[in-house]
Amino acid sequence: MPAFRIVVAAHGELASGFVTAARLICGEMDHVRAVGLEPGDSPESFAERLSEACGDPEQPLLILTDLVGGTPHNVAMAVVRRRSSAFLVSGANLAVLVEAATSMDALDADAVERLVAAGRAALCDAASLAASRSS
Amino acid sequence: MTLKLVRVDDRLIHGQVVAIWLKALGARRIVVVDDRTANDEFLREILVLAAPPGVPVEVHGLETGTERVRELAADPEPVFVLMRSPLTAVHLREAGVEFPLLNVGGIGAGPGRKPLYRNISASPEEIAAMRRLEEMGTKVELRIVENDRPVQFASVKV
Repeated sequence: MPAFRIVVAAHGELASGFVTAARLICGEMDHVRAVGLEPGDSPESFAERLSEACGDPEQPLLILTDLVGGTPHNVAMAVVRRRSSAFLVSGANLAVLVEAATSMDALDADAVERLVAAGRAALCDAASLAASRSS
Repeated sequence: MTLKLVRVDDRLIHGQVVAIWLKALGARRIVVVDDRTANDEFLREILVLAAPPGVPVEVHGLETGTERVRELAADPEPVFVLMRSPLTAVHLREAGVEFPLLNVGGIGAGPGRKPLYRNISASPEEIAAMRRLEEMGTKVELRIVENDRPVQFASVKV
């Protein structure tokens, strides 16, 4: 299990959906939390729940968000800026979450770069994937 | 008069709601009058991030905000003014800042609060504030998003 907490912050049930989906692949994940932006939420009320889910500000933290510029992402930026060892990856997909949740690496800029690369590799036109396999 | 709209919404700037209002109104600046946000650096930051890109956001407490809104009302730049409560609107109005309409777009429910219309509830003080605004010649409409049909506060049974 990684030595850092992971919080998925996303619109609606996508956050808990990501975590439920990752659990099918990784099993139980005590270090992963989900915070969804609900109808009726303000940036402020979402910030309260997100801050609580992020836990001890001294501990390393990775936040994954669904969409750059969305409220979960904007609030996460403000949270990350106030912590000493926190990183934020936006536009995360299930590949990023699975990679992060099963990572044994220390959380640093290099590790985050590898996570982003894993996410990018997982986003592709399947036609090109099939073509590269048949050639 | 270039206060394009004075709006009460206890969520202040949120999601696409403000973006759509701004576009419809042609407003190019947001002024938030709210003591709590003005005094909290974290809240200020998330509020500013919540605004559409390129739209400047000013956050002021009640007193400085009242003066700033007065100043902007005389400026040609179209402005969108946001606050959490009709009590703030009454404060502005009583300080001599004139606006013909107050839009009430969202005040959450809670103990001691009476549901008025959809997601809009009000405390007795807020209901009194809206009545006071009407007496001073500011119409109060209940209207959540820009393309909703406005409901006049005066026509709602409270």
